[in-house]
Amino acid sequence: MSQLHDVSSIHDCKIVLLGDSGVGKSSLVLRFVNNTFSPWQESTIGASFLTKTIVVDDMAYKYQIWDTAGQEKYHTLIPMYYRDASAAIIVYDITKPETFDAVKAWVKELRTMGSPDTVVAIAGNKCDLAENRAVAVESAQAYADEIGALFIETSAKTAENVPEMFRRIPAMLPASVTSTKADDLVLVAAATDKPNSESGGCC
Amino acid sequence: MNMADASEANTEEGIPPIRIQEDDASENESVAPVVYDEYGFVAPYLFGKEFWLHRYRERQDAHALKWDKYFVHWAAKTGWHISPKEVPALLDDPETRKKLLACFPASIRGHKRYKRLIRGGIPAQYRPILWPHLAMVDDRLDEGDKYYVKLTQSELDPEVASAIELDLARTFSNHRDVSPESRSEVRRVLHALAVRHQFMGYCQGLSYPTAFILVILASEEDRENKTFWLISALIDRMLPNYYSSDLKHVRIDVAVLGQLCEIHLPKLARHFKKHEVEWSLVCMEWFMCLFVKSLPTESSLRVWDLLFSEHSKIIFRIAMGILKVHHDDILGAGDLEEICALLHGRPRQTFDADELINVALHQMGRLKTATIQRLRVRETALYN
Ligand SMILES: Nc1nc2c(ncn2[C@@H]2O[C@H](COP(=O)(O)OP(=O)(O)OP(=O)(O)O)[C@@H](O)[C@H]2O)c(=O)[nH]1
Ligand SMILES: [Mg+2]
Repeated sequence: MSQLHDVSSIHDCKIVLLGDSGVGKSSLVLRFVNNTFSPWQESTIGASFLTKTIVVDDMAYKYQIWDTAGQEKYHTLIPMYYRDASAAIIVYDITKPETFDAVKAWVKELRTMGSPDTVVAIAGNKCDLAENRAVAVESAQAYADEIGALFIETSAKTAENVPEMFRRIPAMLPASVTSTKADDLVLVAAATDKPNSESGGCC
Repeated sequence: MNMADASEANTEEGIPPIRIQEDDASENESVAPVVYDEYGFVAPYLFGKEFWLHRYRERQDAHALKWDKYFVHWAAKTGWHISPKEVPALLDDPETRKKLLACFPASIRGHKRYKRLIRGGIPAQYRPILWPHLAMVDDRLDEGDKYYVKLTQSELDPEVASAIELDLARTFSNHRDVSPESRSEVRRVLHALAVRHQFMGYCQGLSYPTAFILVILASEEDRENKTFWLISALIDRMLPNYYSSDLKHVRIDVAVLGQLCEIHLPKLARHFKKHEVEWSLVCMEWFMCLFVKSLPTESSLRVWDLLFSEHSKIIFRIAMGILKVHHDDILGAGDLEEICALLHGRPRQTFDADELINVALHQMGRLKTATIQRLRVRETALYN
C-alpha cells in the first residue's frame, strides 16, 4: 500500500492468454501469480480470472489476467475476453508445430476483431522440453518481428522467463494505456489496501 | 453452514456415508494428511467433520429403509410378498433385480412419492441400478456390450483422439485410485461417445462426468458400458445439446441462468452486473461438467440423482442453490477478483448435500419448466 508505492502510479492492465489447448496457458498464469506448477493442471472450462500487482521501472501495474480455454469449441466465448485487452499473450508449445500455426490464426483474429491497441506477446512454452523441439527459435522470432510482437520462450515448469515475459509487457503498451483515469485509481487503491491482494515482483 | 438438524426435509431424508481415509503422513509432519472420501476423491473439506458425517450416515440409513419399503409396496401390488430386509439381496441378484424393477408401474417417474425419495437421495448401493433405470437404458444394457466394444474399436478422427488424450491426464488426477488402467477406461468410453455422437466429437469438460461415473460404478463389472449409456442418455435426451461444436446451447442456458437469477436472486444479479461478472464465468464449468468438477462427491451424487430423474431443469435449480447457499459471502466480495475466487472455491466446500438440495428445491420459489422454455426461446433469438 502506501509504503509500497504512490497509488497514482498504479495502472490497470488487462491481459488475455490465448492459444491451443494444452500449451500451458493456465500453467504460465499460475507460475506467474502463485509461483506454482502442477504436471496435472486441470483443463480450463470457459475462462478464469486472476490478478497480480507488479512493479516495473517504478510504476505499479495491476494485471488482470484472463486465462481462456484452448479447445476450438470454446472459441466463440473468447472474443469477450480479448475485446478490450491491453495485451494478449499467445502461447504455443515448442514441441507441437500445429500449436504455432494456431498462433498465426490468433494474430489474424486479433487484427480483424480485436482492438488495434492490444499489444501481442508470443510465448513459446515448454522450453524445458527443448530436446523435442519442433518449432525453431529463429522462425518464431522472425514471425514475431514481422508482426511487431514480443517473442520469448518460457517454461511454466522450470519458471524460466515467466516473470520476465510478464515484466516486459508494460514497455510495449501505448502511452494511452499508462495514463490512468481518475476513477480507476480509486478502485486500485481500494484493492491494494487489503493485505493479501498485494503481490511480489517488486525489486 | 446449515447442520444436520436444520430443516424438516433433512431429518426425514438421508444421505450415503462418507469415510475418511488419511494417507500415511508420518514421513513429513508438516504436510497435512490427504483426506479422501469413500469414493477416493480428494476431500479436504471433510477434515474434522467426523461427527457431522456420523449424523449424515444415520439419516442416510433411515432414508434407505424407506426405499426398501417402497420396493416392498410395489412388489405387493403384483402379489409378490417380501420383507424390506430382503430387498438389498433381491436387488443384488440380476434376475430378481429385474423382477423387482418390473413391479414399478410404467408411470413411476411421475409419481410424487418416487420423486420425493429420489430427492432425499438414492442409496449409494442402489445407484448402479436406479441410475440406468431412470435413464431408461436397461434394455440397452441387457443387450450386452457388443455395440460399445464395436464403437471403441471404430476409427476416430485423430484430432478428436488427441483432444481426448490431452484431457486424460488432467482429469481427477489426484484421485486415490488413478492408474493407467483407469485412464484407459475413460479413454475408451470417451472414444465410444465420440464415435456415436458425431456432431460432438469430443468436448472438453466431458471427461469429468465420464471419469466420475466410472468411479461411482467402480464395483460394477460392466461399468464402461453402463457409463457409456448413462452419458449417452444425458446427451441424447436429458440435456440440451451442450457439447455441440460451438457450445451454442450451453451458452444459451448460461444466459437463461442469468435471467433466472434476476428473478430469484436479484441482489446477486445486481452485484454481478456491477462488478462485470460474466455469467459464463459463473457457471460454464458447472454446466459443462454437470457439477462434478465443482462440487464435493456427495453433493454431486445427490445432484445426479435429480438430474436423472428431473433432467435439465435441475441444472438451473442447483446453480441457483449454490449461489444462494453462499449468497452473503459473495455479496460481501468487493471486486471481480474476490468474486471469482469465491465462485471457484465455495462450490468445492458445499459438502452439506442436504442443505444444497433443500435450498435448491425449496427455497428458490417456483421455477416452471415453461418459464425456462420461454427464456430459452428468447435467448436463442438473441444468440448471435
Ligand atoms: N514440461 C512442461 N509441461 C508443461 C509446461 N507448461 C504446462 N505444462 C503441462 O502441459 C499440460 C497442459 O497445461 P495447461 O496449463 O493445462 O494448458 P492450457 O493451455 O491451460 O490448456 P487448456 O486449459 O485446455 O486451454 C499440463 O499437463 C501441464 O503440466 C512447461 O513449461 N513444461
Ligand atoms: Mg487452461
